[in-house]
Amino acid sequence: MKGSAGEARFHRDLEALTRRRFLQWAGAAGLAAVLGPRLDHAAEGASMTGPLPISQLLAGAKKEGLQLHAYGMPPDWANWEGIFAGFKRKYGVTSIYKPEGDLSSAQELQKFEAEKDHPVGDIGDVGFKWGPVAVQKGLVQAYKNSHWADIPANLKDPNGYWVAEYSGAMSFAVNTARVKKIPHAWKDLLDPAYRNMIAIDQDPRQAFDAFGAVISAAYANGGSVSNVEPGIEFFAKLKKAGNFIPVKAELASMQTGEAGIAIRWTFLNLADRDAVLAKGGPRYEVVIPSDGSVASPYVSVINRWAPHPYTARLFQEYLFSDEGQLGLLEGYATPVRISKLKVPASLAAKLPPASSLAHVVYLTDLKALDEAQKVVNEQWGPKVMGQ
Amino acid sequence: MSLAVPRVHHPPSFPLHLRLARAAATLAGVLPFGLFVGLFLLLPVAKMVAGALTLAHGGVGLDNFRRALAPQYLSAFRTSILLSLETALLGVLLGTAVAYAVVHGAVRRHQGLVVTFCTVTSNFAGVPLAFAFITTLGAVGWVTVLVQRLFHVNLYTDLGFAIYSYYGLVLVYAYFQLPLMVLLAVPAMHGLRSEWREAARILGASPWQYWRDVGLPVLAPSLAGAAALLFANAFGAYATAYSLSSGAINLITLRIGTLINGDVTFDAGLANALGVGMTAVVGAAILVYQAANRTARRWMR
Amino acid sequence: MTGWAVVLAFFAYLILPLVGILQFTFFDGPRFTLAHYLQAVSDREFQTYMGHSLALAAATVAVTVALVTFTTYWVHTRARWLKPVLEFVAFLPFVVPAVTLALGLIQLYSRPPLVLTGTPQLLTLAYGVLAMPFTYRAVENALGAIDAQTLSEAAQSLGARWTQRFLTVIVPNVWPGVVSAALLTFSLVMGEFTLALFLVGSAYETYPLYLNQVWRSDPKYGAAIAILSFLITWGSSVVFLAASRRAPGQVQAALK
Repeated sequence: MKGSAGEARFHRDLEALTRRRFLQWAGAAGLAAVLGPRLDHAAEGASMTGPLPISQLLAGAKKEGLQLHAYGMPPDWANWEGIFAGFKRKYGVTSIYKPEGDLSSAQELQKFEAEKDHPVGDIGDVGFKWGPVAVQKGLVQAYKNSHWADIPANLKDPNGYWVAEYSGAMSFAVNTARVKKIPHAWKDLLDPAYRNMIAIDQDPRQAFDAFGAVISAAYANGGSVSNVEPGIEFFAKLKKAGNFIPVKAELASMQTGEAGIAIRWTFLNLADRDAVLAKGGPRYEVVIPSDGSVASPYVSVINRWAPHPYTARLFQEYLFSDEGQLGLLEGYATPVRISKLKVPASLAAKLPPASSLAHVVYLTDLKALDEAQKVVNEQWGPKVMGQ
Repeated sequence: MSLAVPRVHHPPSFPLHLRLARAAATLAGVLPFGLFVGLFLLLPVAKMVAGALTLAHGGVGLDNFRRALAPQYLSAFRTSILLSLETALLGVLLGTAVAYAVVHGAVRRHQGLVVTFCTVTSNFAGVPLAFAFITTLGAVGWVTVLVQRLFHVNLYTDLGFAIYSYYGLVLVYAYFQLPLMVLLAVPAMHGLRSEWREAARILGASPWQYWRDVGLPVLAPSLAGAAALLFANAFGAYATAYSLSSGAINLITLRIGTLINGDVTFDAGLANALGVGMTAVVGAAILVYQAANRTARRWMR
Repeated sequence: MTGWAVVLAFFAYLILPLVGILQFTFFDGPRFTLAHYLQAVSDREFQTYMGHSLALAAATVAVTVALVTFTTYWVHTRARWLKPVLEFVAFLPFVVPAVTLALGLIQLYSRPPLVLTGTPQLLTLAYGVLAMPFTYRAVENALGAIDAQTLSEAAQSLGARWTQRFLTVIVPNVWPGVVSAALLTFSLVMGEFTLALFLVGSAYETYPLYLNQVWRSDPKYGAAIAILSFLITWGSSVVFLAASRRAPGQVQAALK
């Protein structure tokens, strides 16, 4: 993918990809429009919603002390560390985010609410379905950054209360030291050669990328997000065959080799592939299964009681600027504005080819996700784990 | 005037003002603790109960409790109780043996070493402990690999063993339950005078008779209390169970975790109702323990 | 002889899983290395956060053990009828999920007059609550092992006032229980994660929070500092035990 001809082709591929994707997204339910904001705007003037000039935001941030407190944004997830460092270089804001990176979406929102009399957190990064939940519970404040128009309608709240930042597709990270034949599809996973190897991010009733794995398996077995049972049954088969083990797919288990085939979002698998290699571990190959892969965006929210509202908005401006979006790309996440970016060839070479992403299904139908979650909650224990 | 009145049975005509004063002084002594517990434990627990009674769309009701009775949650309670009982029993039996050996046995001189080591291991739980066991007995753990190399037997494929199974969890829980028992039993063991053992031997009692008539009755209340604590400790454990089993074993703490700690579901009301359920189970355990204690005390007389 | 066998088997079981971690930290593939441990020497953050944890542990031990020992003895001798209440309360910390407790405490103490959120003081008090079941049981076991009633009355008949009885007669005799309580509290604080994350987070970062962070991005280093923390906690308890070998008061020696 070197040279300007390769670059041009890449951009064309991405344009085509995005057009196709947009048509798919357009069909998705707009539940966000149904769940209207249940917030009173007494705390914020309507002027804080529309895009504000950087100079004004920076002035406000300086008055606030040039500090940002972020929840649920761990350093090694989609390169948040690099993005916060870039944010500091550009505007001088120190971001406090490392320990609180471990908060899950539910925990972030509960913490925003619990500490409202003495607020600490400014922004959070939550799973797609949590944007509307946060709006319904009145926990967030609105801001439409200057690149608002670039973002497809179904990936943002019409009133600005949440906006998708990036997404990743479901992928397999395969330990080439333990595995000789690389699986390229879900149906390959039933091979007895993969005994005691397959791992997901723990429990699909709790972790979103594990949930995504089940939905992907559903697509590979004649189901969909509205019909996840085939996915659950597939995992039951894998478990019975002894291929699926309940170990957490994470950097540690990839380093020890316990997770022979780790099934997670691309940005997690790709980043950990590099990390494992850098520390002298086995070589992992990352593939996107050809028969079923889903992607789901993560969204950015600003705490309704944020102690640093200007700084939070400044961060969103940075995140959605070219520099911020490329920062996400460096973390292997697909930034939401990718079609508008000029991607340097060196970065483009690190990503999986656009063709492998062609069949990826974007999960933006909230109603279907809620229904799927109910089914997984009921059936995962009894069917897969024999509970 | 000192309130240190001898503990004799007060005749009914004892002056009321002195009795009230005595009661007030007694309560004054528990006030610091009461305040501490009230502010930092009872109030949050009350919030939990209130949360259990709060319905998702506003209002008050018992719907969360109704949903908490779903089969998967009842099954989770059952599995958690079983796991807690087994690990508590294991802990009591083996921990007491170690504590005895450490206080009265030949290993007496190294009591400090054992006690301090138990201090660290009693709280070595969660992610590092799960990881330690996985690197040891996981599918590619060093013991698994060693056994494969030496005996050509694969623990996983040939013996159907898995560290992620129920008994794997028991094995891992024992890692902090046993040391905890040792730390709780050692103070009790200090109350078992070695002279009594000598005296019993001189009088011709066999070791079994000594334990039956002297040792166990003396230790019983402490051991029962420690057993109850081990039960509750295992019952409330979350991080170790999740790190190790990833939800493969249906435990009540994991079910609650799914509802408030995750990225997929969120249901604080139901989680609080299940928490109230946990309180009921532990409350029942305490009643059982207190009844056992009363019987033991009568037995001792 | 069986005493030795039991204790050795016990130690073997405890050491076995640690071997797995040690192998993970000392070997990068086939190559032996000390790099992961040496990293901690120059890691300012690790040292600071470990210091925070040790300070919290010391504070929690000081507050909790004193309060619980005093209260347990008080109830034992002066308010027996309160004992079932005390026991029930002592078990409550197990049934409240840590996140629920944390969120409850944040909600209760973010408003005047008691604004404690984000402070290590609130964390110390919360840890005291968590440690309470263990401290109570350890002290109660020791109290039950001695005939507290007889000792108390004997001292009383000799003219000792309550505080004198408590400090010079009872405490030395329940000293093994007090020591156990202190050790249990200490190790609990050194390992607790959830309350620290919610109640203070970055405001007073502790070792377990740091461990979790490091674990995600560099598990070998994470495992190394887990081992180092193991050794530091062990070392601290050895020091504490040595310092506390002499219980306050001379009565203990006479009873041995």
